[in-house]
Amino acid sequence: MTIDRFWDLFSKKYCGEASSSELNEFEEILLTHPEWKNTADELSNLNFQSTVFENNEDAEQAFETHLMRMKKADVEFSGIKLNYDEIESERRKWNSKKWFIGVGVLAIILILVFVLKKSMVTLEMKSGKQPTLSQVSTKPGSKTQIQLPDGSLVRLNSSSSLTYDKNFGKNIREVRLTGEAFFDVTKDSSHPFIIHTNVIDIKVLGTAFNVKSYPGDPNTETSLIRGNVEVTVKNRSNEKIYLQPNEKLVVANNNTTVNRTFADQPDHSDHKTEVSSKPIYSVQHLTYYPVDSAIVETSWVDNRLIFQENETFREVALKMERWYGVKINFGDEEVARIRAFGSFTNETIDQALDALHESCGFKYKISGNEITITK
Amino acid sequence: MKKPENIRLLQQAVACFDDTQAYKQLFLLFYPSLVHFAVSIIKSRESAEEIVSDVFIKIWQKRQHLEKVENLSFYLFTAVKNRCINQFNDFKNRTGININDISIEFKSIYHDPEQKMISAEAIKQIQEAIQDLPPRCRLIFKLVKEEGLKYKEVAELLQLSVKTVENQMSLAFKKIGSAIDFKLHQLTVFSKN
Repeated sequence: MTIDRFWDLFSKKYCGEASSSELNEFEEILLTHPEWKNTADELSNLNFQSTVFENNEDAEQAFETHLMRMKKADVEFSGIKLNYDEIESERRKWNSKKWFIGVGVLAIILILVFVLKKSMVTLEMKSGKQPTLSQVSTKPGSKTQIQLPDGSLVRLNSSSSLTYDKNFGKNIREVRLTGEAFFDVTKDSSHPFIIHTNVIDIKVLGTAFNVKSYPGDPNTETSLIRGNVEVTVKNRSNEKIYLQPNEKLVVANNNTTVNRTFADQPDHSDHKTEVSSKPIYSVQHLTYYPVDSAIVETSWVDNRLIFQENETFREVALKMERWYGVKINFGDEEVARIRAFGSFTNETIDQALDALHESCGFKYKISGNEITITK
Repeated sequence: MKKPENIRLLQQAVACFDDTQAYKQLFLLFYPSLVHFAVSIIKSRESAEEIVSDVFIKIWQKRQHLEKVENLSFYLFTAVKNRCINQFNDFKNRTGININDISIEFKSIYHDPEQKMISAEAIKQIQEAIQDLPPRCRLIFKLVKEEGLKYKEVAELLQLSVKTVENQMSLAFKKIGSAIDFKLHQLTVFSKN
């Protein structure tokens, strides 16, 4: 009977189970019975997805119970946001065998890298070919946007550079960053996207985040807007740090502790107790500009220069130097410690300084690209 | 919403990044329907909840394998079924599962608002039509349409032939189609005479 065959074929088609000959047969039946087409269309538009889960309270409760059962069964449930102590104790648990294998593997990789690099260099020299790297750089005071071959977007802030292989995206997606950039990475789960900086490597699948890694800065910052990122700190490659949206990872650039930018932390006391030779990091929340809740870490992407209340004029000046491509000198230390806060969008350096000068009460002199600030 | 591409991403986050948040998402997505399914087999809510929790503990312990799991839905339902059966065998109080005893609720239908409008009355009729399906038919329909299982997978899970799954799906759509379009229903009756 045609109607039964119709339903057989319809259900197969709708559930993605129909072969091409069955699909043809279905179309033919519809041609001879156009009156059934309407129902078929109506049914195809229905989406039989359960929405029970949107009422999440019961499931949340169940998850809590589940976590308790996990704990009882001694199953370790962590992975994200490992803190320093946990890592240290975990590291001690490492047995010598694993360690031995680790060193072996590392040695092999190093040798391979060395050999490959050497052969690549000689190859280039012999054939006189163009180097296989592409580099995009920005001058102080300018920004640019790059679309990588895989569709990922990179906004490059001033005084920054992004380097990637000409073959980017074919097998691996790897870039090298100096300075600051905002990444909106196209999802491609089979090809992780890796960003190398001086002190950290960041691995992602598809996310939006900001990386700030200027050579002169005390810290390297990774701020996550959405998705997941996995960060490895150089020299501590067996630790991985995972960020959640709205978090930022601050890693000290030199062999010091993370330099706190809070007002109650005088600069000179920071280094005296810390003797560790390894970079140390902390996970913090992103900062919101109190006036309009813009995210401070990524405000430069929208062409906004934001200073927070807890920033000293010296820190502000560093940002302004990059933003406007100028050099700012301080006449005395006291002025450098003034707290300045505000937000600039289209203002020129003159207008910005004028506004700051009015709220903070300092004097300034501009001569060419150099600005001198005095009390 | 259980979109396959979302589930794949969550799987990857758990497998590659040990992402506890993604793990929680997966749990919240699958827990209710898995518990329903387990209850329908072992008739005890408490044991069903424990079984599903155990399956998820295994998932976390073996999370690095998660990336290779093609259809997580099928994987989870199969794992739950196997555990239910094992529990039966442990207690030796039953020899097998009678699928006809299985009663699965069909909680809701989601209608894409961007698509053509459908009246609340029609949705009610469709829901009633689904509730009126024989239990086995309803279960099969739910597993295919709501959990995204393939005919072959449902057949394997419920120890049926693919042909049976096909017939049950055809029957389900016929009944739901009739609820949508009374005219078509009349046509069906007419052509049967």
